[in-house]
Amino acid sequence: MSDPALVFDSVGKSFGSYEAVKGISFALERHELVSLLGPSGCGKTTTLRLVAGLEMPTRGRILLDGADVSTLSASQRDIAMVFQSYALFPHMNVVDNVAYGLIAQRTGKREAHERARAQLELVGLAGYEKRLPSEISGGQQQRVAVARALVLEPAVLLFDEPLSNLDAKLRRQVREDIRDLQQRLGLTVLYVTHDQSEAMAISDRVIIMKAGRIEQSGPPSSLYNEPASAFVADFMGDANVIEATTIAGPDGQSRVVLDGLPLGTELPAGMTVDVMLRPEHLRITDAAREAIGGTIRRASYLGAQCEYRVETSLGPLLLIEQGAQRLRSEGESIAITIDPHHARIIERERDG
Amino acid sequence: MFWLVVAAAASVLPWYAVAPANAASSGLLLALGGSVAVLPVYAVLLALAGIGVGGGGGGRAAQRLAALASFAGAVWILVSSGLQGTPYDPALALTLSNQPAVGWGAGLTVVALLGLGATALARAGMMDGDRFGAHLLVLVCAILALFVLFPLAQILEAVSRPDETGSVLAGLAGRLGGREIWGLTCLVDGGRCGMVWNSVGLGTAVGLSATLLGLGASLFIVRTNAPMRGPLRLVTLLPLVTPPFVVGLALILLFGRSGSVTLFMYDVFDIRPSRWIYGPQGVWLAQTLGLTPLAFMVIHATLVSVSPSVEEAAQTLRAGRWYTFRTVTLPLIRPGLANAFLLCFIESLADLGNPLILGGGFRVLASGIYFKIVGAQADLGEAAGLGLILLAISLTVFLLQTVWLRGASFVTVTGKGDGGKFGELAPSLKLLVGGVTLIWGVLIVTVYGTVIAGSFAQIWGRDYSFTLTHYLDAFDVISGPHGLVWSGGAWNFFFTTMWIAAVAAPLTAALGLLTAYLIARRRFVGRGVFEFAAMMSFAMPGTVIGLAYVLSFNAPPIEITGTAVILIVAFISRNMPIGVRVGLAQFSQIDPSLDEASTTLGARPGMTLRRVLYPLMKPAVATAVIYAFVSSVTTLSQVIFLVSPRYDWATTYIIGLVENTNYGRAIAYSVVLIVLLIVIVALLQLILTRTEFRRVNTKSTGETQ
Repeated sequence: MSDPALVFDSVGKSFGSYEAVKGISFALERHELVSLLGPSGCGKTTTLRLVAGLEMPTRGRILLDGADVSTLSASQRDIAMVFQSYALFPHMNVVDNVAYGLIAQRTGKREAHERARAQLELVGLAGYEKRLPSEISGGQQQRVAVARALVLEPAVLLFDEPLSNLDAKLRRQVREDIRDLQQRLGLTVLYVTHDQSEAMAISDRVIIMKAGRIEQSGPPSSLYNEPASAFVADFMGDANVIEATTIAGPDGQSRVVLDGLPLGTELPAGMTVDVMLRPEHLRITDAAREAIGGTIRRASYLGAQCEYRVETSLGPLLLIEQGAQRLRSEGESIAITIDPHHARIIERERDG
Repeated sequence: MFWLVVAAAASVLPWYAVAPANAASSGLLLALGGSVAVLPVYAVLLALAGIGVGGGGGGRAAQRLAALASFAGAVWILVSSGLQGTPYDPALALTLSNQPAVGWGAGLTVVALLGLGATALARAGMMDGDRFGAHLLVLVCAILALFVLFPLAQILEAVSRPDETGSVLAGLAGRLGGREIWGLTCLVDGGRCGMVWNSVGLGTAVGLSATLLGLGASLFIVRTNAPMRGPLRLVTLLPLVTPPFVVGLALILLFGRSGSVTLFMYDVFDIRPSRWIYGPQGVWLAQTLGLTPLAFMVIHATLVSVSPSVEEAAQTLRAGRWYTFRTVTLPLIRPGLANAFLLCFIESLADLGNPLILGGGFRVLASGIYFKIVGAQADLGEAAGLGLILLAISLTVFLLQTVWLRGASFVTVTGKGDGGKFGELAPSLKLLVGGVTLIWGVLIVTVYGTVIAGSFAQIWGRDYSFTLTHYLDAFDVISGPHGLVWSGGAWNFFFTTMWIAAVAAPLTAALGLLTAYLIARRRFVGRGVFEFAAMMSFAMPGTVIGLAYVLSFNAPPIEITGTAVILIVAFISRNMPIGVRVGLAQFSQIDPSLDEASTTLGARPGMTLRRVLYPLMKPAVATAVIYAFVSSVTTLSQVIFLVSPRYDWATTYIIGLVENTNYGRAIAYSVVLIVLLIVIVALLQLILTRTEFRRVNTKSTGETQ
């Protein structure tokens, strides 16, 4: 098996006294699309720029195709990047933009233009060669930016929130296009976004970052179903997080009890824990036994589902009822049950 | 490697500007001959060659050491003869303290050493190892050190020389503390005040009046729909291409003893002609008229950047027009007003022409320096003292401007997508603004009308009959037996002025814009200091630069007094900050991810600069080149001490004519200069901004956290 395409070996980056990236390690396998996901300020963009060579690490090593590139400048690394603003050169037409990188690397002008044209055809922009960037639509500009990066056949292709300048409808279309292109050409891609649904939709793996560190990484499904922390649970979709204490049960197995509802756990007794419950795993039931009582405070009808904010003795809970025909009214009293298999119980983080 | 080759080539060129007696001339032979001045340089070069041939080996520490050694070598070449600037005496033996000025060999070696130092710095990891950036930084720093800091040090040195009794303190006191500098007798018994008070008072008055006029004109143009706004805009630009003292000249023609207004008043109202225009009031009027366009441009820029939606918001909150102006608009443009005031203050301090021709007995620091150098009481030390004080005031104001106004700009607070249009001004304010602008417009038109009329009048004040004599005197061309002969008296100065300004302008603009590039787009240690140093010479009054250059460059190590080079260098270091400023403004408009995109596509910084940034910077390039050219041509204070019979300047020639009261020819010459400048500016504008690009998006990416 060959080397990973990209390796981060305890890479850190400080700006003055501020540590933006705090010694993170991860690897990117070939033909894999990995997303860096996190709130703004978490260091994901800095991480991407470290890969690109637009920032130099203050510690650690960056390996590209097995070779240490930590001190190489961006122009010497075998990467290409699609910028958030696309960064198309406004004074060059589309084909000159795409051929730019080839010409920078001493490819002959004729050949560079030929390859640029072929690339434009691949992204469906044949016929737009002579237009200026200001003369094409936002979606087309985005595709030019992708073509400009792809034509260099980089070892790793970087995307910096490429969809944030598109409107909601187009966004879904373009992200499917990107995923399609990546799988068709077997590209290795590192993709930065702050939108969890975007990350889940296109990634083989997602790396969640928080305050300069990697919080958790894995395939989208495992992050969603087995979040390692309340932060991850909350960031990957909606979650109800309830603080509780584990107690020893009669059978020796410890458990937490939520409003009379017992949930078993592997953790020892006497521990402060977070119980994480996805809104769609809460069910409205008719039985009052082994259920949490509550009152609907806010009800929203969203078409495919109904969303309720319910006042309970555990605090407010978000609950989603799928496929419901009718919206329950606000003020209605309901009983809620929890599927014990879907409840995730982990030790509470100290820094909260 | 390249720089080692340059150094090798330099080693066979004559080391010194004049061949020393009884010694070899090339650097190599001098070194072999055991010259203490040259030997260390070649020791450094050999050591560097050792490292260089080793393929840039040695760790970062070694490279840092190499950089240090290179710079030390370069500095050694320049200072080995001492900083006192003792002239070379060919009769004595060639020793460390008796060396001729730097010649081609030594000069080129300095350049090579600086280049080697820059390479080593890049290898030591500076600017992430980018050689291009490192070279650029070293180049700009070297120019600043040599042509700004070194001359300043020379002023300090001249001020702190011991006096006749050998006491340094007494020398300092005499040069910095005299009564003609600080005296306050004008407050008591109608005597004369010290030059410091005169300069500061005049600067404050001019700053206030120019700012008020500029504010009035900006409001008039931006916020009213009165007619004549277009032509007014053009008129406001006129003084920018006018040598500043031309306004003063026009005032003499109008209000002088035999001025047309004066004589008219005498004829009609029997008011006796007097010399009232000569003195602070005359200088104030001339400077106000000359500097209002500057204030106008600054305030105008701030005013148009105030988002209309803020004012609309105020009005939906039930604020009246006048209240809105007072509580929203005015506070928002306050930084612009302060900036305009300070700029006009600095320019007023630096102006030499108007105090010279209109000052009479009223003396300011700038004219004081002039008389200390060319007058009967010539004393370079005292001139340096005045220069130091002038510089201190100017720099203080400049510091105030940078520190105080940095971040004081509110114009970008609002989000994007502002629409709306500016609200109307309150009627009373409209009237006021219109009135102020009208007075100013009338004055400007009168001044320029007088200038043009005066250039065609036989003898202004006595004989107004039409004549072309003045023009012919200055710019006659006759066809002689060998083709055209430039027989007019002004041609010589004219050609010199044009070619030197034409050489200096692109260099100035290039250096200024590249410096802006370093400041805006590169990260390196000491960038803040670098920016301040690069902008500082803007606050150096022209007379002070002239004086400092006289003190610095008429003896070894660098002897360029009386050459064209000294003029070019003076222009570059004085006008460079404008290029920096224009460049910084333009760079802030260009999305940094364009550079980054270019870099990630494999382009080196040089290619990024050439293919991406330069095309987008064209408007700034045009502005910088035009400004550098115009201000070089129209300046008086910078050149007055630096011109020589061979390289004389148009403005000094005109001032000479004024001093001989040859107003007709002086004015005719000024008119030609102004018209020509307008044509050249228009042409440059056309050539340099032929293609303008619409920007796709200037929105910046999710920035570095």
